[in-house]
Amino acid sequence: MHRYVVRRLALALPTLLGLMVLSFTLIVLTPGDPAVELARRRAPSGEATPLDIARAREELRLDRPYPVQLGEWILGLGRADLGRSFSTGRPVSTELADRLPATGQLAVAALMLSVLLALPLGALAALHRNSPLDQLLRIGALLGASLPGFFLAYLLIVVFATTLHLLPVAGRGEPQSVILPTLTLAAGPTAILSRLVRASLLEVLGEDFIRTARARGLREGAIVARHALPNALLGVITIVGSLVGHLLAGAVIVETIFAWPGVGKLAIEAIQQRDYTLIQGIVLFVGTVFIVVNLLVDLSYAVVDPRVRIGAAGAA
Amino acid sequence: MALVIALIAVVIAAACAPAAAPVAIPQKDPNADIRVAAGEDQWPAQGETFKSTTYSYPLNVNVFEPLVILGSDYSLKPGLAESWELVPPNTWRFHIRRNVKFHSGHVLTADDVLWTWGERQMEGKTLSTVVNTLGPGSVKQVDDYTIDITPKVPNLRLPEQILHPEGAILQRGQQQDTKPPNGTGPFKVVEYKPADRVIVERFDDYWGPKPEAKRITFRFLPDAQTRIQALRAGEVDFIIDVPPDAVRSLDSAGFHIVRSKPGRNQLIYVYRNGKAPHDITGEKAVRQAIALAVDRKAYVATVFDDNAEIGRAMAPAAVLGKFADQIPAATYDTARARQLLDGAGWAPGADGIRQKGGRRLSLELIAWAEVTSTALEFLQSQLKAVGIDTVIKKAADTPTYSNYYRENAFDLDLEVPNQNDGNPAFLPVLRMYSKNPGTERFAPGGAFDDIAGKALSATSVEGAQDASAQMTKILIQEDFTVIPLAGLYRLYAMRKGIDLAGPHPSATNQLWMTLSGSK
Repeated sequence: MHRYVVRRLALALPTLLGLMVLSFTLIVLTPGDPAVELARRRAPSGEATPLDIARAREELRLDRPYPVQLGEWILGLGRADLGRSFSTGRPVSTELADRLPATGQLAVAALMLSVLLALPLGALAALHRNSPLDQLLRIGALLGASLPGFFLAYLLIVVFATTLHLLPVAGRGEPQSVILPTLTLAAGPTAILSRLVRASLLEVLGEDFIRTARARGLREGAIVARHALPNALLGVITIVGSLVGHLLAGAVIVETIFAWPGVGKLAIEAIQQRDYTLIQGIVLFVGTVFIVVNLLVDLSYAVVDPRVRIGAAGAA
Repeated sequence: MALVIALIAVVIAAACAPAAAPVAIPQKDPNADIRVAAGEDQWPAQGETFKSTTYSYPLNVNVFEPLVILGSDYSLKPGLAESWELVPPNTWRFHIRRNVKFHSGHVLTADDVLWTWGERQMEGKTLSTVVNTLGPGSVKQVDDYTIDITPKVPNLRLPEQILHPEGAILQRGQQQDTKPPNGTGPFKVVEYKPADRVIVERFDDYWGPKPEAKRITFRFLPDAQTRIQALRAGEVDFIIDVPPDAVRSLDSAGFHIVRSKPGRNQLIYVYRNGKAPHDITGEKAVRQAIALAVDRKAYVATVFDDNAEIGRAMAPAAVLGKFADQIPAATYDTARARQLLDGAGWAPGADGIRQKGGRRLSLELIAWAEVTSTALEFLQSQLKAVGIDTVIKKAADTPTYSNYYRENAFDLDLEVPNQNDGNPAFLPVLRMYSKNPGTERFAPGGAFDDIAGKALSATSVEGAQDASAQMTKILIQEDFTVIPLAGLYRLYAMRKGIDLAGPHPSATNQLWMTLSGSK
């Protein structure tokens, strides 16, 4: 187990380093000149002089060779220094810290809802394979996975807020204001997860040990709950990592429509303002979250499935 | 006698008749607490030095006030200066209003104006139109309630420029982003949650007429459809910036729509002084043909669902006063447009697009990010009808547009400029006067520059209005450098019982004093 953890960590570190290089380089390659943008923002007339641009270039350290810029940027990350936002003048880390609680609340709520809905729905579909209920759940999953987030968001607003007056339209004021954005954000992951649970469960239900359990006279409910579902969930845990990425990407649209002051909305604001340092910080942050969550998923996989750690130890 | 008796009987009967049922007149509620949905949060947080240049939308002059206020008819009204006068040759003397309190309780004096204009503004952070004309020692305190501003170059338009919300007066030592916000305006900020809401309440010690509502909550809902749904759901009472295509449905659903007079014009600036490959519009015949090829009436109907006026000038008509009538309405005449292009040697090619010397009459059209695809495609089809090909370069955001503009990668530039100050010559001079930096793309020079000089040195507002109208006429009717398309209203929607009297054409000058609720 210990070796497995070390090996996973050793694999995560170069991935993280690759992400740092990529997020820095992407901004360097993006059309437009950050120095011109910064100088233009500061110029009283909005028209920057060559001297203004040269000063901005020096301040942003863009006058140095690319490897030096990259090295200094990565060293700055060690001090949690992501630079300052062009549009607000505040540290990027502060901007992210201000918006993180809102996105965290939304992402955790959506992930929990997805898991809580997908498990029973997937199990029901598997246990009633090819029945009308299975077909109905299949259509539901298809809709959930294919409806664009913005369309679902407006649909939910019109039904639950405008027509039924049950929930607020937007904002992060009252506790119930989290419901509609959570439903919107959770729709896609729930659909994907429920289909995966169904497929995994059907596969496990065809295994020899299930046949043995049935031969021993165990009740079907106990077979599913105690033996089939835990084994089926092993594959599901893996997908949770990529669902976090799905949730963070979806948050950009959902947070804008629901006026939810999170990292997704900050990303849109940063892109609209062409706030290079902020975009860089957000890309790095989201990528890091994705890497860390996948690392945790891999480690938890080893905890719940002895074959993984034994296999890892054997391979080592 | 019988007649007299009959008349008396009628009078008595009338007097005894039950009075007609009184018509219920809604009473304004002095304690109204109104919920407003605004767009993106632009209120500056602490230390946000760059964002403060957005002058705190959507509150602006409601919290911080300038010396002079721009009326909704674009006339100049006393603000924190009770009066002002020109002391020849080039000094503007402002007499500061007495007994004005900041929200902090501090009493306004000329020292605060000296701080704002003599020290803080000179750091060069805001209101460049005025700051660029000032130098060290330009602002002097005469006594506790008198301040002199002497631009280093003659600037007779200063009172019309200084009224911009960016020029609002701050208490000595403070900034626009100092928290809590501290101005002299009719509303004081009681709560601010970034990207969520700002709540203001009536300032009881305000020097002027009191606001009609006691409290206003501005919620930041950047998405226009979300704002509309919030109004329909009863979550807000009033929404800002209604999309023109949503007006009809909101109106039919029983919501009250309020339109300001046009404060912004959609205009095409034609790249007059470009070099190859952007030199085609250097030909006057091409520019004139473009101006003749656009059916403005159809444009307004198609793009704005008739929630705009047909464009006629650069600045809002009110800015030009009685001189606005000097600018004739634009003509739509495709036959004449074709004739002009034929005459200039642009002959129709096989695909209907004109050519000259093997070169196609193909133009690149850029536009501000807010301009819709419908607008651009409409113009493309209109120009195609006379044989002009248009390549639309739609910018998804302002920086992308700015890149196209800075790199001169366009022939036609569709903009939606604001008139946020009272200077009648502001837009023509800013964009077309060759002595102004950044005008080299469009400036016609010659007679235009002579009149621009007159506008800047006019000693009266009327003189500046007259000159501005003449400049506009040259640009639109003679040189065809500017093609006005539509005059845009500010559109507001509200539930019944809420009203906004006299909406300002300029959003940054919008006072919420007249936003009211009924009992």
